[in-house]
Amino acid sequence: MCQVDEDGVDLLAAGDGSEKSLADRVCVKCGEQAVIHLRDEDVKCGKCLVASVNQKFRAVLTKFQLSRSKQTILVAFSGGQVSCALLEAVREATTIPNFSRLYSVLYIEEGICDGLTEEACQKKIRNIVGKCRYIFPEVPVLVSSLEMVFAEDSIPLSYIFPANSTDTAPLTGLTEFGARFKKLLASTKSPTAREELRKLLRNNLFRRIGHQQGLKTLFVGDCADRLAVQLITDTALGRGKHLPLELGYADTRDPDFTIVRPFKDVTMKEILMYNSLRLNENIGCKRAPHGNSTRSLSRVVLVLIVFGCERAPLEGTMLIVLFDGVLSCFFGGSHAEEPSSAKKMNSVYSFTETFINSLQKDFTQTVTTLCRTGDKLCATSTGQPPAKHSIEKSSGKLCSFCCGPMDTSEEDACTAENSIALSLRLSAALPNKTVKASVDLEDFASSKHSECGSANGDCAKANGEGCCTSKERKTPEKLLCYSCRWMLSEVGDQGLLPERLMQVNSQQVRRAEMRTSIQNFLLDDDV
Amino acid sequence: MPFLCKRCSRKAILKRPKTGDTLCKECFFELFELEIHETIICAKLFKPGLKVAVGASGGKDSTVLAHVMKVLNEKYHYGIHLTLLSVDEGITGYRDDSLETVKRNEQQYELPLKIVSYKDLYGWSMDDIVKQIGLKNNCTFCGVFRRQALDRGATMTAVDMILTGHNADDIAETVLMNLLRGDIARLSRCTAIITGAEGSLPRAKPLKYAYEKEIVMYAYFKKLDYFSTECVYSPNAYRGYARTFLKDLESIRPRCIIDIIHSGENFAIKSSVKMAAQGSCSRCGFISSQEVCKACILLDGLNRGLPRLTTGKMKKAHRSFAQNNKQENGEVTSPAD
Amino acid sequence: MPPRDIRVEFAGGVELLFDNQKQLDIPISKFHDPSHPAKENLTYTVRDLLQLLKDRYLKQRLELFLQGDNVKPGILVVINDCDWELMGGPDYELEPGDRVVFISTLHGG
Repeated sequence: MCQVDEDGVDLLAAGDGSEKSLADRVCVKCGEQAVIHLRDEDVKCGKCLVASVNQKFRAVLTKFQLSRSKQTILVAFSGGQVSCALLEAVREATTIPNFSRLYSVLYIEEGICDGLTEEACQKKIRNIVGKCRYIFPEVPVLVSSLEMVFAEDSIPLSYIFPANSTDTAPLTGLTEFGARFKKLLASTKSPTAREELRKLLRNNLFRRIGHQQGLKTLFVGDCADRLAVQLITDTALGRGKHLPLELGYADTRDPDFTIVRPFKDVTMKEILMYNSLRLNENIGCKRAPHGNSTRSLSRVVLVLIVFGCERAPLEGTMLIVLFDGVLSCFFGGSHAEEPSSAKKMNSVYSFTETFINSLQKDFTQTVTTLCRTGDKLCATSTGQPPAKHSIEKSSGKLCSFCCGPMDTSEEDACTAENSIALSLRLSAALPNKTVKASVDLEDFASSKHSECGSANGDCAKANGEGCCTSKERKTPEKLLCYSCRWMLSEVGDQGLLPERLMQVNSQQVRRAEMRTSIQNFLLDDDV
Repeated sequence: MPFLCKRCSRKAILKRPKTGDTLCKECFFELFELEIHETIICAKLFKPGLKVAVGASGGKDSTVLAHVMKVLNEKYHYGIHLTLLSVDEGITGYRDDSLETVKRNEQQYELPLKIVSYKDLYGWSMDDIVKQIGLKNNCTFCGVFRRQALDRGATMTAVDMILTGHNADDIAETVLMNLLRGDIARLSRCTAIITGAEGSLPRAKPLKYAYEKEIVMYAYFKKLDYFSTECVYSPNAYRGYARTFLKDLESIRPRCIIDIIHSGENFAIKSSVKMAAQGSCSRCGFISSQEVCKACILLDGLNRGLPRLTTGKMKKAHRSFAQNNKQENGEVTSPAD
Repeated sequence: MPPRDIRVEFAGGVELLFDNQKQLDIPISKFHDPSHPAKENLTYTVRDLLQLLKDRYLKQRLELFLQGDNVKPGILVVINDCDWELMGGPDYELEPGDRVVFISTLHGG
């Protein structure tokens, strides 16, 4: 087929078309020498860039009425670029009277997923706490470890480094949970499913720590570039319906614990520049000479040495060169918790990240366009009270595993979901294997529902001869969304999953469902 | 150790990308056809007596579609009247060869064939257009003209519906493309099995859940006669990125293709997002979201010898078109307009 | 009886990369690496075939046929009328008389 749309949509323009050196340009706001080229005519000086990042951060606080309240807010911190910028913006905001409030940093050590030893993990934790202290010494740091997802609620899920201190007693019981965690990861069949599982477990642990600490809000360092990758990844994993939760300013699937993304509209380039301007002073930023001498460096405007990503300890630094405000050394930056590494190159996320980064290089509008697309798909992105819009009013059903809205279709609808269910049903073994019997459509239609419990795919036969799949199931499929059904089928031994997980989720799902059903009887206050 | 067919335990010849199941040749043929049949029944595409044209390019998808439609219509008594409909863009060394394939299909499947050409419809063949405007934007012309050409050909032969050979991979790719360029209106309709608003012919995609791999394997094992050469004019580079990415994803997780379609079917589009209303072109009456359809604008540019303008910003092109019309009507326009 | 050749066929547009040849018969002896003396019972895999096609036969645009040392995603490989995914993929050990078909899914529609 010809690769052109019949609609003849114009191609995206390649490049910015701005070959003019930044050295000759001035900030659109104040007329100072520009240091960063964002898009089109948007060039800024350092001061205005920092101001605009801080302003975007505070706008989100205002939007969610979070600027002044007694509640402490958790700030997820991975040690990556975006985390560092987020923490700096938080610190900055606390100095402003209208935004002064309390924060705690939350770090979850996930070294177990990368095969790090306990000792290496402890070293990493000390590094991360050090970084935190460097940016914002007055904040307490909660530290947990991903394997704590197996722990009972009766024991502390995290330990605390009080403000200004770097001493504490580490968590106990990690080794025992660690073995189980490793088994669970090993039983999971694909890197993509492992990554998805890890993300779900991390979110679960976030929530439980929040509940344990009596806190209701978590800030995460998702920036525009990362959300653009997330948009495509979620789409590729069949999570199209979950995009409002995954990409919006707030993820409200847990009514008692909201995940907020204050940097949703900030690009990676802004973050890196922000960090270099805000955080470099004490760690030795080397600035290439400005003005005329930049010409001899052939369009290199700034050479910045800024914080390394989490795998690089404080003393090891990362070199970033900006050519006219275009980052040319840009490695693994957008995925702060999990820097890309060769062994991760086989997951949908890492393929997508590579794809988006390479597109962004050739078509500089890629990330911003994707984020705009995401906004149009996100019912929650306009800052309206989120919960009401994020949960389907009509059905109100939520997935027991990820707590996202259910996306299963009517049993006789012509949908992708039913087409895959049909393929699975049709390729099930014929009753008499030796005789080639062609499928009679009448038989097929009549057997459709008797053989299989429902078209949702939860098979009535549990003896391994089931018509959908032969695997033993712990969770009835009809309680799971389309994507989680696939993910759990990739977990070889579902008995290894945390028992508490489903229990906590189902409680939460019930609460949320109850609330939605009540909402149907209430008048909308914003109508 | 040979793999066995999951259904009947004969020697398997194919691993299905959609489910990972292994199938023998007979079971594969049977299921491939049956699933397309189920799609047709589920979506209630046909009524007996319907006149249906298969848009035939001579390539793998439309050849497999024509073959399978012929088989299913006879097997399941749809009672529809099938024809083949081809568009001759007038590209020497590409379309003339592929049309030969379509003509052979006409014989092989005993289906009447209608060919409509750009030259007849618009007065310009693609070769003429390229001579005039060069290789840079010719694909825009070709794409815009083709959509109308199929409809016009269908109207000439008085059919009720057009079938196109878009497969699951094509649809997944289109979902990605529409995400990448932020086209919400197209995103919301690109996964529909039937498209075409009032006033235009319905178009359906019976292969929308069929994987490209299975289509090619079906054509290979059935020894179908199809044509496979890239158009001699330049392909769309941007779409190429999306295609390569999709194939890479498929290589690690074949389910991705159907999962992307599932996502596309479930996107929640914010109600406040404005969608362009579909109307009809004031000049040719063809469906258009603008006052004048894109084909008329492009054609106008060609005929006035200003094609470069028309492939740039459409807004500018519309303005230029309007201005030109006013001048023709004797109105005075300010040069600053 | 002397060992027969490996038959390689190109379809779906792959032939364009091989000078429009639709079919090649490659004697098994061609697989021998001249820098290493031929050993007894040496086996050759499809991976070796890909290398050989790349070194000796591929006429243009390597990146349209190979990605890394594997076939570019989107090109189907059929060995003796069977999907190569069922035959061990690139690790399949070739036998004289085998027929390997490369079909592109990327062209035409």
